[in-house]
Amino acid sequence: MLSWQADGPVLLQIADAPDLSAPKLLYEGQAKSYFLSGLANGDYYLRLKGVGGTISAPLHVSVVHQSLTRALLLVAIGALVTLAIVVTILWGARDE
Amino acid sequence: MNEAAALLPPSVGWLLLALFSALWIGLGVYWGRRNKSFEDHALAGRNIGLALGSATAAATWITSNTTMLAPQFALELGVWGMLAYTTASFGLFLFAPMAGRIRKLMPTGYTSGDFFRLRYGRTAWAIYMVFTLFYSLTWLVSMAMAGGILLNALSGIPYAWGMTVILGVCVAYTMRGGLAAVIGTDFIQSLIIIVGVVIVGFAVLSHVSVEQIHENLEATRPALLNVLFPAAIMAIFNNLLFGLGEVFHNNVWWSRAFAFRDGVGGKAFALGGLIWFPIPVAAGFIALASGALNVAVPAADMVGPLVVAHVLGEFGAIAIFIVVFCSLASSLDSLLAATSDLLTEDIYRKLLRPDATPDKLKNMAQYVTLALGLFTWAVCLPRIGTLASVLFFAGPLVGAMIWPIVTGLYWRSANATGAVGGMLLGAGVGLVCYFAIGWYVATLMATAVSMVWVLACTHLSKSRFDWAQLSETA
Repeated sequence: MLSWQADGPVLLQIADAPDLSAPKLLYEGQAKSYFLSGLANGDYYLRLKGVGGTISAPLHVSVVHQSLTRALLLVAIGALVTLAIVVTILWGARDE
Repeated sequence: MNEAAALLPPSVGWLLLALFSALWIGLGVYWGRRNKSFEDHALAGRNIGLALGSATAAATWITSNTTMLAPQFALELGVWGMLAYTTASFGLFLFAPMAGRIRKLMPTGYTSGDFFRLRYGRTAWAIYMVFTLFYSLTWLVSMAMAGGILLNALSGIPYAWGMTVILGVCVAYTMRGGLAAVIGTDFIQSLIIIVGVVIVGFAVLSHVSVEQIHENLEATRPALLNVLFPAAIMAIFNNLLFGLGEVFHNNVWWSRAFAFRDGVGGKAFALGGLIWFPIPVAAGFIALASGALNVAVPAADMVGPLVVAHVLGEFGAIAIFIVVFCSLASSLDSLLAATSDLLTEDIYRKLLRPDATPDKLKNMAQYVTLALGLFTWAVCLPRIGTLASVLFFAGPLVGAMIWPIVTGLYWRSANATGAVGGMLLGAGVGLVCYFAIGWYVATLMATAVSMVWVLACTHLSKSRFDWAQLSETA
């Protein structure tokens, strides 16, 4: 969550270089906060540009996602347990 | 829910609240006129048809979480997060064949507690009651709390008043009309929710194309489109199993299996799942469009209302207010009715007053509904914001009950040792995982451990259960 104070509308920009040489626009408007999500692994830099041309100091954000190996292991366990439940229900009562 | 500027003036919020409150209470009184006994009150005379049955299955499962948390999942976990949320529909799909089996084995049954008591004995029943009451009461409290917070965020109505009105309205019509009123209002509420979500979906698409949304996500939130997003794929089966555990164990769903006309249950739950399935997809899609629409989201759980208000203006804010009110009411009433019936049948009738008359039981169920409402109101009033998160603790508890229920319904060799051990070991390991690793593995590990124990006990067992023991005379 990013929050800021500004008198007027702002541009919120993001880039992967510390000098924000090729920034991408995240938001333009009057809001005072922004929920940031969905970034890939890596380092990012964010800044605000005001209408008068004032620019904030860059904010450094580092993103490290969880282990993909662990995630895939959990998916495998989940798939096995779910499949067993589905088969048990669809197979029904066979010993009546 | 974090603070955000209200989308509607309080006067409009109060007007909408008054109109819908009068409608639900009026219908509850009207539908309650025919209730003469506990069976009428708790199970609507066991005569619910396919249309009402499908609608109540879908509407009960559309909680405030479906309309508010599904967009949050999409914004935090991307396309996989949105799909992970839709896996909750598997609970209804898989309960469809189980509902037919329940009705066949227990033609005079009242509650899921009856099943545990008759199938596995008092010890398993006692553990089940502790687990299910913890889950039901935390769900009830979190929904009532969400009602107050959402009405405050949407229209500026003070939290205490919003929570009190929505809870009071649900208690009033559930007390008066019983399950018939709950199912009848669910039918209307499900229609309102579906129409509202369809209007919002088309409105969003008229403002921004799918290509623009994809282009924006690829540029600014690329992980949301990543098919190997670790946090998102971890959530898939944990969510799916949480949903299965919620539906399989709770009396909200069992009471419907008993209330549906013979032969209706399977079709009604399957249709309910199909009706429910697109709702979180549409809600999640709205969240994914927020960047392309240049909507600044101050908190992930407010993304849905903010996008809708941005696209449709005041009309959109009114639509989301009504959808949220209907989502909350359709779940709160079901939970009040099902928990009240569970306490009346399993505690009052079976433990305290076995000779209570049908009329006395109906009155008791009404008092219990009122008591549940007062308890919920007292817990919610101080607005302890973190209490809603307690609901996530229930994940291991409900996951651990899946295998005892499924094998208990289909396998003669399933036994009390398996059920008791499966519930206790599964819940214990799941809670340890919850604190040691995180919420995203808790239900999964609880279900897996419970499965291993139940299968081992069943394999080693020489006992063969007599299904006739489940058809207890009412």
